Amino acid sequence: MSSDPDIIDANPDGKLVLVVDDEFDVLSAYTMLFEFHGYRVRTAGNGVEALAAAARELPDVIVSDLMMPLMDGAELCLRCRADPALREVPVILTSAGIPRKDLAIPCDVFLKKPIRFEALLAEIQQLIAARGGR
Amino acid sequence: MTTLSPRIPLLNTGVAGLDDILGGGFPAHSLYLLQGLAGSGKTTLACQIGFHHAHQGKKVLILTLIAETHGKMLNHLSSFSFFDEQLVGERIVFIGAYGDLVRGGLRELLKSIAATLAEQRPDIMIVDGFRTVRDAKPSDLALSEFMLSLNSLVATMECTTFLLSPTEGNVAESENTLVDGLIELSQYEHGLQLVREIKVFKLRGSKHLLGRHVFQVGEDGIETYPRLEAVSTLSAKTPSVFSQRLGFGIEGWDRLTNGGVAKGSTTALLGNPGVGKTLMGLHFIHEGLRQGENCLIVGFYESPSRLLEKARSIGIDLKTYFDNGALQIIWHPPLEVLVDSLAHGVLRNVERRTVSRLFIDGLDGLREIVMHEGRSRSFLAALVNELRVRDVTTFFTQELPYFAQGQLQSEASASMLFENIILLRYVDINGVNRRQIGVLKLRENSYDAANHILLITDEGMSIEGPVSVQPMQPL
Repeated sequence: MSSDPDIIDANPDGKLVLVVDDEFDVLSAYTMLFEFHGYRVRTAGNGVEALAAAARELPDVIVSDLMMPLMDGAELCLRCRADPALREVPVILTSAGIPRKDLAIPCDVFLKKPIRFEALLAEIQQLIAARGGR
Repeated sequence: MTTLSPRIPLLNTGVAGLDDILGGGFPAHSLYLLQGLAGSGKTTLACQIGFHHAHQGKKVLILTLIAETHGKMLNHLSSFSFFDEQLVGERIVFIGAYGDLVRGGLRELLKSIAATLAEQRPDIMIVDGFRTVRDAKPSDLALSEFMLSLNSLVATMECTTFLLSPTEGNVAESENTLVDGLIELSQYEHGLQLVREIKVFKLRGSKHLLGRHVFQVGEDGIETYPRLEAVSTLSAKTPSVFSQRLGFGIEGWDRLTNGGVAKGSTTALLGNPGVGKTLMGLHFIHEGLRQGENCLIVGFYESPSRLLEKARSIGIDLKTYFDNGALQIIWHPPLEVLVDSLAHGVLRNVERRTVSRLFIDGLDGLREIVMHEGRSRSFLAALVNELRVRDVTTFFTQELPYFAQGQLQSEASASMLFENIILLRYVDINGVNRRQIGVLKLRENSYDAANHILLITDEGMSIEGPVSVQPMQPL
């Protein structure tokens, strides 16, 4: 365990991860873990909230669940790609099920739940690095 | 686009018998509550699982809230054979988290756990003194949120987690409802005796055995005994059917039983004290040994040396077979021995040595050590079934009282368990007490229904022809 409690506080210079999930516990767990790894975290409970949060502060990466109320992850991906401001923001889509291929959801990575956190972290690091560390 | 679809494996416990109770093990990366009052064995159980995995190179984190100190816990664990000092600090890491709870409540504790999991990357986490989170007086909602987040956190970090709490019962509180499994350790008192029990209230993703199972704590830690009735009920094995008949090496026996008892059957010999039940069992065993079979005797009253001497006195040499290992004897006075442990030992011995003949000397002794009220009959039925599916031919003795009349009535229910029942008793013939033997029931075989006189001499037992004198009165 870290002896310095400050390390788990939000990091002002960290890259911003927008976590979108309708399950409270998933948001809570990811927030604490991403913050531990030096990221800043914003959370949203569905696609509508996610677009609003992204409009307020442009995320470096979006990690979104697929099945959510109001606006699901597939729709969120489509909206991001259609929005010039968000077009370049990489999106990682997650779900307990596998989405139909014919939906052709425009996400960068799909991860099936349960997800190994290390795998998710590696994908985020890779996607952010690929964007040139904007 | 990449797709990952990991499957959740089962985490074996390394605790004897427990994986069978759990249906193979704990589904990994989940959150479990191990509960039980003080002294119930939950810390020992969790740490035994932890050390088992640490021995295999896994990392185990023991997080303590208000619980015994790390030094005391280590001191207590060091008396068990699974303890390995070399693992402590390297693969078994102790961390105190009470300060986080005091500083910032459940939120701070959760952040601290998240940071620790991310930093240490343990495969297993044990949280001792978990009840302390409720003692911090959170609202019901805050506690539920904490439990949900903790569950999600350990799943995300793939860390199988055991929360230890000194509570009992399956109550509708979030510590019980928002975990993936709830295991309770408790104690059952019977007179002055106390038996430890384990019960799985729930275990998501696993087909566990329902009900209570007993366990012991010894120098190797915890050893559990899946309840034989539950194991036997689930078993898909069915007994084989043999046409082969087995003799007892007693002159006249084949005539009485029309060739002997069926291989794989169970026989009960009912008789008064001193009438020769044990001697007949020794004959049965000796005949098997002579045929090259491996045999086992389970006794409650006479020690192995007394049994061997008893056999020798009527010309039966068992010692040679005992010495060369073809015969083994399990002997326990019917005192504080766990019947589940005994049955487990017998069945393991039968499997390991391919035992074909088993003599259980004293069905009443076996019944006496079945401590749970009303369990005796179902336990015996399960034991008999397990022996049948292992193709063991079993011979039980059952003592009848000296002078009771109509004593067979009380044995009627037990008789359903046995394919063959033989009655051996003293009768008064012209003022002389004689031993009389008769077959009451013999499965799938005709038999001589007449009573016969049984003789015991220095050369062993023999059965004379049918009794044809005046009706005799049993004593």
